[in-house]
Amino acid sequence: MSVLTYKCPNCDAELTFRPESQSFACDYCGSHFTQQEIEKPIPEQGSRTEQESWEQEDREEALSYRCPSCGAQLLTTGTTAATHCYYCHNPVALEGRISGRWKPNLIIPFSIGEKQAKERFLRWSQKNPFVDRRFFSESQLEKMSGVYFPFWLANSQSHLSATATAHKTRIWRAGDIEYTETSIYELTREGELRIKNYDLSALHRQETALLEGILTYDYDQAKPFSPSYLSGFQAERRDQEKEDMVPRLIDERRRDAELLLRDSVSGFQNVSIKNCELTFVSEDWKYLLLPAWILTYQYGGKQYYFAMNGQNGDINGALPISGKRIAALFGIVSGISLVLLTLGGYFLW
Amino acid sequence: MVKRLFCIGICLFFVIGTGIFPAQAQEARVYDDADLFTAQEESQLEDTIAQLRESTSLDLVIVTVQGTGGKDVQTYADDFYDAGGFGVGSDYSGALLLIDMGASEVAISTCGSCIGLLSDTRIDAMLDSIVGYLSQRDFLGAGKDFLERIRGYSAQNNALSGPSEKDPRPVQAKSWLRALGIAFPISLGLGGLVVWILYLSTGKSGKRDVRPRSYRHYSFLDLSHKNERLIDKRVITRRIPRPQNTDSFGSGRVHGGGSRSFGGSSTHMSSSGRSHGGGSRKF
Repeated sequence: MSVLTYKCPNCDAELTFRPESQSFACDYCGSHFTQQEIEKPIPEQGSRTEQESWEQEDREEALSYRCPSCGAQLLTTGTTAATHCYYCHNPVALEGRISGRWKPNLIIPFSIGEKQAKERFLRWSQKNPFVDRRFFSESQLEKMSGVYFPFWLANSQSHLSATATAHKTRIWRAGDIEYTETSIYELTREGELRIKNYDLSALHRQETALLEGILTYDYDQAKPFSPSYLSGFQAERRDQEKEDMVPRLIDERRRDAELLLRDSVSGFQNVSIKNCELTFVSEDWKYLLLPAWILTYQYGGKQYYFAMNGQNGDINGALPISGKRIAALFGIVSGISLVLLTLGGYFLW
Repeated sequence: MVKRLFCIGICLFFVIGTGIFPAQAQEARVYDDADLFTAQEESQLEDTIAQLRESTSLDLVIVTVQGTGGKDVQTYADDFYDAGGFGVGSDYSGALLLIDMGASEVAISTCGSCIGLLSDTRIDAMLDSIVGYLSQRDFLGAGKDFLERIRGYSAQNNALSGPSEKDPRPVQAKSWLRALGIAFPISLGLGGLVVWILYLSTGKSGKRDVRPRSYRHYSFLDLSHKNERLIDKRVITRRIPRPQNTDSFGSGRVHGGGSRSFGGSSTHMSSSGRSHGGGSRKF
């Protein structure tokens, strides 16, 4: 399988994508390039037989490839599409994993660079006074990696037609008698149900559950895909097909239809939907790569994962709480207040 | 020349000295105008009075007269006390026993803390007892009875109210322990509260940082047709129960009996305006 790397036109060193400037920079000569300047068109498809055999091979198994910079033979898991060479640390993109049917439609490039990500992360976690302080060590933060994760993005439009019944109640008194008047209404609604940019993770892995928490990307900022964006970062290929996603979309549509219908009713009680019909109008699926900074940490035998949205910096994850620090804070607060209260108390009571 | 000056100096000292340091302890407290006591008996009473002054912090006076010159016995006793400048402390605490031979009346006047100490009930008891002695013409007995009873009442009161001010050390230690005992659970609670609040606010997970996703983020309903049609109306009526009348209080029955205060001390004003307690009795 061919491996893609991007070389600096001036000094032939590896180019990496810089989120801060949204351009490509060379570590050695310091030159900057725009995406157009370095782009080489990727072959849409290799020869048919080649393509097929690749696909069969790399569906789930590890694949071996040769690093173009140092020549090392490396293994990679079934879904890795871009990574760093383990030995020379140069970025590589595995062409076969990002071309043909694997080619993403869109990509949201990283807006937050590594340094910024680390700073954000420190700021966020240091707010918690109970975190074990070893968590903030440089060696720990080194392990933070920028990864592009695969997502499916759905857009759909359906025609909606629904009826419901609802009540309105009035209560008043005349002399000794209390009157309760209940009016029963039939509500009808008709219109278009639009689902815009509904995102679903296309990778069936444990950590992706974490990504659900940071899933508020601004999809309008997405750019047409180019492998150059992957340079300097890791990327994963999907293992969930569109067909796997469709049931989820159907469920979501139904659920949202009901919720939105209820939103459209005000001033009534006991709203009961009698029937709700959804007719297909259009549906569109896009395959995306979304940026996230990932950090894993082991503490007390447990594995902790953190994800930071690579576009807007939202963070999701559980922090390792140090029981010792909790006890220490408790002791200090109690101790000081005990002394103060005893002294003050002696004079007060 | 030196001797003369020395003599004048000593004389001056005594004149001024006695003025500056009024030796109250040596002043007479027994005024026996009716000559009921012998000199010995007088000094006996004086000694007891001096003793009691130390132990009870009360200034006690015994006065005997042939007559009060028409004045009411109680008022005479009150005025005598005030005029004599008797009394311990800023409230002039003390008591005076007056025996009027001419009117055959005896009166007790109290002042300051003695008003509270010698309640009306106690005054009655004292007068009863003293009158008993006087009818026997045992004047010394009457005087001693007056003093001893006051000694007794004072001791009783001290026993009831607990340790006197002469004993502050155990109180101090007690006070520290109390403060500690109250402070300890509060400080524990405070520590726990702080930890709990911080734990909740910063949270185990960073989920608080993340903008919550709701369906409204990606789902939209554009309605082209909206209708609400009345199809039925029902009215339910019910009677509201009237609230019940409450019963009136009181039965209007006749009661007898009376009321009497106990333990209290009634007070009256002397001519100088100071409040005195006490009472009087004929014997």
